[in-house]
Amino acid sequence: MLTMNLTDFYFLIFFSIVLILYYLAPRKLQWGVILVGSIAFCLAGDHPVLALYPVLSSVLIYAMARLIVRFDGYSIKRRACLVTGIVALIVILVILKYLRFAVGLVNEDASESLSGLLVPLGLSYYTFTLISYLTDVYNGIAVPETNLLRFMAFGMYAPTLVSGPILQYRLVSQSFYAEHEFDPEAVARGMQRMLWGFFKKLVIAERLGVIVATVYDDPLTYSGRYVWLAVVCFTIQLYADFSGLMDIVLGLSQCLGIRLPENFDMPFFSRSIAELWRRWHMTLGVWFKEYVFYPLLRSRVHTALQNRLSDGKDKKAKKRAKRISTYIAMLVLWFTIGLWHGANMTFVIGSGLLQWVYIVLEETLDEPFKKLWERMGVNPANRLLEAVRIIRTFLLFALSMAFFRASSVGDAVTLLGCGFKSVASGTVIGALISGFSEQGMRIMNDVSVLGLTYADIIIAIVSLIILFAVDVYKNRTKSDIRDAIATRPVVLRFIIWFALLFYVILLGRYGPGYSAAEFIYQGF
Amino acid sequence: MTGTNKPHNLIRPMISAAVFAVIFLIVLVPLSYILRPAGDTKTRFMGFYAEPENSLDIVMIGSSPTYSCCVTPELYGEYGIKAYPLASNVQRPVAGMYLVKEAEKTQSPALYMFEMRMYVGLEIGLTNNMAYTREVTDNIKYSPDRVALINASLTDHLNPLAEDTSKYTYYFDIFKYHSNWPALADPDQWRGWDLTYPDPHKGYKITGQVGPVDTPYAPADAVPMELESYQEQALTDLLAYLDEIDAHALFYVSPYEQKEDDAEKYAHIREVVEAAGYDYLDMNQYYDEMGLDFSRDFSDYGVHTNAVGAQKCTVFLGEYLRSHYDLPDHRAGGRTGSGSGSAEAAMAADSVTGDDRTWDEAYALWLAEYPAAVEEIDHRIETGDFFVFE
Repeated sequence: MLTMNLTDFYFLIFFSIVLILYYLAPRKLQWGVILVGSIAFCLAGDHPVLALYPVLSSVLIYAMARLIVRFDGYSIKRRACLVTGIVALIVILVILKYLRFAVGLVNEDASESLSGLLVPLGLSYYTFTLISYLTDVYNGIAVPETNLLRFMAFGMYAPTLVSGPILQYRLVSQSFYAEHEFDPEAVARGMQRMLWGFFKKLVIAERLGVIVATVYDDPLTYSGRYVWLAVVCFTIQLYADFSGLMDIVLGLSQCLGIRLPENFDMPFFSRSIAELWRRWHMTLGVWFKEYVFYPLLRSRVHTALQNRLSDGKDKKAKKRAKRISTYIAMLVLWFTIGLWHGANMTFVIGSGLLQWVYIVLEETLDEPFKKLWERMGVNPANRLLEAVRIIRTFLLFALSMAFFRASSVGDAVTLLGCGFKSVASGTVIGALISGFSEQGMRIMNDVSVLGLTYADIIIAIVSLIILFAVDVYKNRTKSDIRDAIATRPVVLRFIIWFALLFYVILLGRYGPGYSAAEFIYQGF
Repeated sequence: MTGTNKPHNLIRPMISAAVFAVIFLIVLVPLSYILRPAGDTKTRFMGFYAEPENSLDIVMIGSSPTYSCCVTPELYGEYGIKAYPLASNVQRPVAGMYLVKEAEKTQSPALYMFEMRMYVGLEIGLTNNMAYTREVTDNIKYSPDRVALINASLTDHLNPLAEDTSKYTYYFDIFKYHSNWPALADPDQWRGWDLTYPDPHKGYKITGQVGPVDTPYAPADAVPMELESYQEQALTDLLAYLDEIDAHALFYVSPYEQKEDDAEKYAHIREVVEAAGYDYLDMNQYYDEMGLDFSRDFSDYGVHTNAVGAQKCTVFLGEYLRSHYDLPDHRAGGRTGSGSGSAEAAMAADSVTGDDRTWDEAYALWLAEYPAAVEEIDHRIETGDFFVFE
């Protein structure tokens, strides 16, 4: 699976051309520019033939949606169209993404023979987008598109193929198909957001990625606090990488006048894991909630399970049965979410089952803790407790991401085990301070034990402070910092954006001699 | 923001965007020059740009022998000739024509001199390390000619371009050198913000290394043999361009231990060049006249001359240029060269004080550095401390 990387110079040139053509084209045909651009984007990959997958999937779902609206109410034919469309997409998804994993559970040799299966870019993302569209049409909450090509422009909208966000047609279509006048302010804002995304990805994520790879590849050497540092660094790397990519995708969409749903809402300010997942990869959460979890709760199986667990009369028992059956439905949900991230037990545990355990524990312990605080006379909403909750949530999430990052469950367990061993060498900070005192600035270009030069470590720290400060601002004011900057005098605005621009140009890790890693969520 | 049909007031934001873009470019270009890594080629090229307009008599173009064989400060001090090498390590022949174009932007030299050693080379060897190309493209100023040079240089017919040599990184070299940002802390790097800074050695590179070799044989009657098609084309293009701008040119081969077929190819070059009406000089036919001692005068076993060998070559070149071309004498009083042919005689002379103080200083600097280099060479020979290839 390979395509133009969104941080590539060639992609930026490609996007500039699309942007110019988009605003030069007749307003009613702007979607056509998007369609042609998206197809070109897919064809630019190593295996152009893979562009057929999103094309054919879009055609199929378009046809099924057209058929659905032809049939009445709750007819079997109507339902058959829905099932056909969804099953076809799921079958393709399973074959391309999960068959090797499933076969491997039974026969490793047989799974190797499937290693040649090529996966089209954005398979999981466009599949979910299309299922969402078909389901909404079936449920009568989305008006189906009548023009196949217009629909294809939506179904295979290139920026979202890289790693989302997962789109819901009923929420996006109005903005997507609107006739967009050239709005310099929107274009400027979009570019500013893209720049912020480049900052997160190229300056922060790529640097932290070096530390993470250094420790994860050799946990026995980097035991003790280095392991925990790497675990925390990976969590921040993942956030900077994924949210950075979202900033680029949403920014370039904003340049085109298209408003896409947000995928992140400062998740590391969450006070619980449940809240964190409402603020992390939000479009995935919404999708699973709407198209998996709620249907599951409404299903006969769930109702039957609930009835079986309760005595039938006791109100308390009914409540308990409802809770347990919901937890079981949540188990299915989180297992599926884990599996969505990848056909590997590391994902199933890291981004699935562990999250379920956390959330069940949170809900189970919520009442006892409330009572405890009450007895102790502590205000549960006090700032210190809030801060503790935020830190606890982050650390629990980071712990689960250790599985997400490891190449196997065994590796993850080994890594975490090493975290409890003593450290053989001194700390990086210690080395940094002693190095400076002995050698002054000469130490800056030396490579530290973390795989980065001391200069890079300082850049990473400064950049994280900038990222944190911006997120704190956003969290407190609930507004975009670009809005605040836009109200400043033009000279100050220029200084701020030039500073960020040259910060990224100079300190970003990109270009020849350095191959920027693919976005982590690009593989899903 | 989105989906509106209201026309937007475009004038102010467009002006704002244009101003932003202009400021961006104004900052980006010098920043990119500053980040280009320091090295003797950068110093040499910056020095070329720093020469006053139309002040040079000769622009020398070619690979490393160009700047290691001719002591340009001595050529000035001894013969009053201002020659400057636009030369780089393993400079590909394809660069020749474009460097003439680059030189023509600020200079109108009476003579171009082309060192021909790379023309007998094979393209596969010249393109297997893109540093040979970058030494030129990354040391000249941004211009349409630079783009044309990059287009002409980046060929993948023999050696596929590596993943890290994407074309755009040649056009915008900041993509390659941005990671050299620690250089921003070095004040010396800032001196090259406009890629213009005087080179105190006037492009010459002095060395006290020694790599002895037996005196080679360079046949004068070799049967001409065609060059490899790429080098043949480069020579054809260069000759056509020189003809177009009506320039005078001397094609020369500096002394070195030639390989198989080299003499035959030089014989061909001589035929082609002379047929086009230009001069040709093979210094390999004048070892005795120059007094070259291959056991002492070469830094790396017959490839490049060291300080002593360069001094001898320079005297030979100075005499040759004086006798074949009507070049001005920039020294005070316009006196002609001493003709003594020795550095000792030059050192015994008074300071030159010509029309450009920087050339006087360069000559004085060489006079100061040369004895130390000779001493180093003698010491190395005495102790057997010979050059080691990295």
